[in-house]
Amino acid sequence: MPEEYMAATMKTLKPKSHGIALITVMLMLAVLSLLSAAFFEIYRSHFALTRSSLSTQAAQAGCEAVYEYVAFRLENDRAWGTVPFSDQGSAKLLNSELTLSTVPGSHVFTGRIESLDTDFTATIYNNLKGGGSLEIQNKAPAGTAYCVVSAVCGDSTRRAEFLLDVAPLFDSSVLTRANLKVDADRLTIRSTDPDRNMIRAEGDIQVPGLLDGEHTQFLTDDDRPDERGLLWTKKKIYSGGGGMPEMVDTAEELAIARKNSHGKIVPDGATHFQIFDIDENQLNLPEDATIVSLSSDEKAKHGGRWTFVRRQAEVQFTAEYARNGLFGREAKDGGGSRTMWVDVLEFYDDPEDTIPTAVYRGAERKEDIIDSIPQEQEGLFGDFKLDKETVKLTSFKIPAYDALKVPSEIVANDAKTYGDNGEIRFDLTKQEVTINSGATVSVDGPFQVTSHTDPEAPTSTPPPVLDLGYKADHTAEGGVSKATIVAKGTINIENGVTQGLGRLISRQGDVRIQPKNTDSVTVDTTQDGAGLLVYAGRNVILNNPDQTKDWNFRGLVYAREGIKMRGGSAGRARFEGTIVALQRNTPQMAGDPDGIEFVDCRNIEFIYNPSLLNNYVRELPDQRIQVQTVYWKR
Amino acid sequence: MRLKKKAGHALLDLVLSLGMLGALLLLLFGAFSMSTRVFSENTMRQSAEQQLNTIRILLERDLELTSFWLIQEDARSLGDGTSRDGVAMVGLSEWNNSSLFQSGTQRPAWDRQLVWYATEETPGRLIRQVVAPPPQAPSTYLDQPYKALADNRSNVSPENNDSVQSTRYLSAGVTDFKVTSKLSNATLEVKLHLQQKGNYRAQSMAKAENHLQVFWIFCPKNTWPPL
Repeated sequence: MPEEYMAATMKTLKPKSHGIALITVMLMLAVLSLLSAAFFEIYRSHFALTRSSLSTQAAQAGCEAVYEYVAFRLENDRAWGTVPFSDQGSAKLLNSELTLSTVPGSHVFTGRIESLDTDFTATIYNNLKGGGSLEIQNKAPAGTAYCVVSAVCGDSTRRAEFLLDVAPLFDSSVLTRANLKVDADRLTIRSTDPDRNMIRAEGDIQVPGLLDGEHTQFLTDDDRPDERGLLWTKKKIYSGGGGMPEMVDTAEELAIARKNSHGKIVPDGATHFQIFDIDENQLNLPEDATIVSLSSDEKAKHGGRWTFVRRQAEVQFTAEYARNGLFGREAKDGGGSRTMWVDVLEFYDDPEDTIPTAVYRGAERKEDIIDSIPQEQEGLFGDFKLDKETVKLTSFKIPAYDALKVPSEIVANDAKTYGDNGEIRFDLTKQEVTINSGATVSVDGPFQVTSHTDPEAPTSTPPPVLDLGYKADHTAEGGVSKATIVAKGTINIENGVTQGLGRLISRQGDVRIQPKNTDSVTVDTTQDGAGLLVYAGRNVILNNPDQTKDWNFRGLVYAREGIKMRGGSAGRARFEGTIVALQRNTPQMAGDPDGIEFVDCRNIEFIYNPSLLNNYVRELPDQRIQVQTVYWKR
Repeated sequence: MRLKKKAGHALLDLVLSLGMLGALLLLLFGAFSMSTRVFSENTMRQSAEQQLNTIRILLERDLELTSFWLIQEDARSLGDGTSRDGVAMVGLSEWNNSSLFQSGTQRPAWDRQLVWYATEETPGRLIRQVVAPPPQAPSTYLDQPYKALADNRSNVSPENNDSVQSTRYLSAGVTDFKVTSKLSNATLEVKLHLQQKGNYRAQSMAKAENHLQVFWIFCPKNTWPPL
């Protein structure tokens, strides 16, 4: 029976079981579908939102990439986009995977940025040089370049417009790729630029008293706080002069430093800034200058060192002693030969040599001989007094050099001169060096003018007066006229009464200035259109051994390595324009600067003045410029 | 006997099938309940994200077009470690109006301050205001950061702030709004934390909460002089 029952039951229940299973499956499917639909509905708009946001950002990045390209292109080709493109030029930048081509007969260029999956179309109107067509002038006023770009990524489009103009090549009063160290009582930073008052360094910056007083300040011309001030470095900022500087690091310290200095204090800067590397081939010199070369002088054609020194020599001289007798003037010869210390000019074709190449003496210089011979001679009825007018050197021989056959010369007209018209003049009577203002002296080697006192000499060498081409001249534009000294090697102007300096350019060496017995040193290139003041292929070294009160530099001081000033408690050193130390290599010798160093100074003043540099920037070779954003809009 | 046995089986079948149906319905309603909650919370989250996206788009535009040097911050820290900062940036009313650019330099002659701040209640409101204070003579345009920001950001009635031209409430669920300017690279870092409360959770007296926190870095492109 059970079998019969089972069979009957199966017959009756089987169809019902099928129904329940079907319903169950359908219900489960419905639930799952509902869940999936809900899930999909929720995330559909979410994903769309995310996708849209990403493509918008890519389109925005595309606009920025085109901006970077246009800036790069204009910095290297100032004429790009000044006229409609003549052909379908194309370019490809591998790093950003940017390809573009120009549309002939238009200012349009199109392209694609593969890495962003973005296409763009842009139009450039370049009027940086001015004088563009009416079409260009309507878009880009003279001195600017206008670009409008439209970038498309997926469904997103982003449009941007920007205007560019020429940036100052140097945007700060002090710029260095290495350290800036100012050991002084006070540092004042000013600017004539309406927007900028900055100091920038890639290395550490150390300035006086940021944390303990108002020793470092950004000020306006009328000594009000200048809130444009910015002290910026990629590394650290230290407060304090010499020994134990204190790092300015915490938010509290930065706030104190900002309050004391009135400027923004920025350590650990993260942006890139460019310091233009001017090599010797890019130097701009005044075109209308008289070029004076030393090449006609066999001994000095490759430059060298001229040293004023007092040496012991065997001197033949004439002199008379005189007195007023009963019958008028009575005189007796007092000339002869005598060993004495006399002033000579030594020339060394290699500045490091100890044996000179030639020795020069002025025939009319007599002060040193007068000091070395008796002032009176006894006579029967009274003493004869030396008649100083009659003293004259007829020959001289320096024993130390005689054996070495160093030629000596008593120079004609009392001055050793160089140049067709004697533009460079070593006056051996007055102990003066003068260079005609307006002349450009070209030296194929070093140019060094110094004075030196022999340790055995009873008296020190009278310091020469160095008038190297800077002088007041009411007929000249700006009231001063200046000379330019261009030397392949080091320019060293040392231990002289420095009355004024023009432009100093050492293509491959140092520029060293160490004045003596001088109240003020002025190096100035204003008003003559060039802007370049001091250029050194290596270092610029300023020494102040005898507390010169004022140092004034107006123009661009540029060193491809470092700049160092040993102040010797200098009263004030003022740099107007820009000082730049590129520091291409690590310092080679002990004592060489690592960046820009001011040591043992009192008052240092930096004044950023772009107008002193504008002409120089405009005339840079290779059409190279730097551009900056005037506005960016979308 | 045979019929009795059959009837018993049928009852058992019914009980069993009702039990299974009940279990199925329980599962079904559970699933519905869960999906409703998930749907509700995700809708809330989606709404918050859209709100955040709106804030980002507006803030990005305001900050992209301003000058870093003319940004004024006003930091406000609450006791719980969160912030309700304010930030003001210069802007232009019409970017396509050439008369709003300086004639010599062609740079924007800023004519308004765009003020963003979070009020200090819990949660706070995120507010964007257009403020047009007069320029400081002798300048004819705004060339200074908005120094009055700290005193001109009411928590109670933002519409009554001085020189307000328009006010927009972007969120009512701000628990943290911190603005930090980075001088090292001339950028602005913004931290924003939004909180939203939804309906009561099932079998709970707790309301559904949604938290969104973002960090943004913006680079003002009209920064002059550039860093």
